Amino acid sequence: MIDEKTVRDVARLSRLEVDDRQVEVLARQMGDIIGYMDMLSRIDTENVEPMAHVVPISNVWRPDSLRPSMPNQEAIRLAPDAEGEYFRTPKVVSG
Amino acid sequence: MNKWEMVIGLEVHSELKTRSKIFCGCSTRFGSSPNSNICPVCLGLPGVLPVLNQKVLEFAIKAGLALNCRIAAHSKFDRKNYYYPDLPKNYQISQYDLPIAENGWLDVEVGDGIKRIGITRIHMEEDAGKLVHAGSTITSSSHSLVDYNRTGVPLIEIVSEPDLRSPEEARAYLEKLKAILEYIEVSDCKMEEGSLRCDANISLRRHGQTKFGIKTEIKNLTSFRAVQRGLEYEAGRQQTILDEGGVIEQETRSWDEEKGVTVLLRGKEHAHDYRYLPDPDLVPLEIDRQWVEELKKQLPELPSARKQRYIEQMGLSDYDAGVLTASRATADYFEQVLAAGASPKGAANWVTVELAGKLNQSGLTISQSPVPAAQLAQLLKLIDDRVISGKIAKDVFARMWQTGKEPEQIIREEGLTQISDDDSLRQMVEQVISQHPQTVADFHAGKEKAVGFLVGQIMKLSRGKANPEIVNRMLREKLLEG
Ligand SMILES: [Zn+2]
Repeated sequence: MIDEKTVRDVARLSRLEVDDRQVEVLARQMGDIIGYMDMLSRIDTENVEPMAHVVPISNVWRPDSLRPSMPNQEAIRLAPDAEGEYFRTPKVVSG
Repeated sequence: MNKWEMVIGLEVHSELKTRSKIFCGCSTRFGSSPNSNICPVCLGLPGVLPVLNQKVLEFAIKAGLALNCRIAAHSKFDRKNYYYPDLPKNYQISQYDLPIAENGWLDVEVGDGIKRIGITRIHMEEDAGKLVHAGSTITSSSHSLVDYNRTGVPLIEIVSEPDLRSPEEARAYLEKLKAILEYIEVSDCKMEEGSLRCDANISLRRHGQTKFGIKTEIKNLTSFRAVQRGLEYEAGRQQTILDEGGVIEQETRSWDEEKGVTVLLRGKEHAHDYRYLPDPDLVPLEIDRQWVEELKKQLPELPSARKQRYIEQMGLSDYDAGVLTASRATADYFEQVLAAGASPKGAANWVTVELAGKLNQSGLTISQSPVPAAQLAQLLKLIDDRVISGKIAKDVFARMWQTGKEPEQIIREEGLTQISDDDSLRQMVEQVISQHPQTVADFHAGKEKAVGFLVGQIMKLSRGKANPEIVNRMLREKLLEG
């Protein structure tokens, strides 16, 4: 159901490296999961309200007020690479 | 273009002017030092919980109402997944299938009529950070630096229907949209600071055809002018390809303002697959109808209504009313001049010509005008009372602009009061007549133009202070006497 090409595509989109052996295993496992979803989709949901969240609460919000931010250097210290007040990444050109 | 029809749709991002970010309490202030308005929530550190800023929802609903949209009863947030260093979580919190507002419209003035442009949807989302390229150019630098201050600043994205048919229409739509967002005070809409951004989709099709052609998307349109020029260029590029029997590639292109061209950013094969999914950290929204009704009542008079009122109740021209209402600040200033006692036509003229000219020259906005509305009203009253001529008033206005002094003080200090006193005017009339016998002869020979020349000479002699009406009358009397 899930072929190896799909596994490689999804891995690329998620920036994950997978070797040939893993692709084979993952294709089978992902196929099983999708198969299970197919089973769910056979259930009659004609009169069931769509649900976007498992917890039955809504409208959780806060007033528009400021809270202190982190000190710059505290945040910078967490980064694998930084320069002065900035985070640093390998060069990025296209969007 | 005659064979081809342009089909254009715009996607506009507008930053909402809340104090704090959309899902955390960090400041949204523009121009702070790099990475100073950041916290675990907007940096996407593990284990944090975003909580919606209620003001964002309120502003988005107001925008929806002002753009005649249907406000959703149920709405939710989704994750839009993509990798880019300006996006610390590797997903952007946005809205996918249940946006806050849908199915609206906006009336835009085009050519000699009004055209209704459909609004497909408005959704809420968080802004991304900013990449700063180290080194002098993008290509020479080895690294990118990232500032996450803008990450999590609230945005609304307003997507139009593909109803626009020319770059001018696109520009007019964008200008109107900006005016409305400013009027309802949900966004500053400063294109130069990036608080209003626009992407455009454009395709061509043969006139009369109903099917859409293949479209391209243009990014990096950072001014009204860029929107218009970018679309003009792209329409031309597509036309050349189609005329030669070629096929348009569905791709994303970037406008290069300096070179005046669009360049390929990414092709169809690199199109993003965003894999939207509901954000489990944010609970659904159930929008209270009563709240929506209250927000509707709070909306101010919008530009179209205000313009109509200026035309119908004040007798202003369509053009003047349009210029005055294009921004709320200008319309408010104009009404302050009226409230201080000026007549609509005089005030309209001075605000749209003299004041606008000076503001333009000095790169100021009307709220920064060194001449307050009340002082402009005083100046207009002095013209109405014939204390000074309209011409002198321009000089007085220039002095007001420079010095911040009241008009009466300037007139007193510089002796600019209009000369209406008969004796001194009569002397000047006689002097000019005696100096120009040939022109006087021309007048008697029936050359009406001669009068204008002589009036000009008298005005010059009085250094612009003579009352031109009295001069005109007196001169004619004298010429016919002689
Ligand atoms: Zn934050």
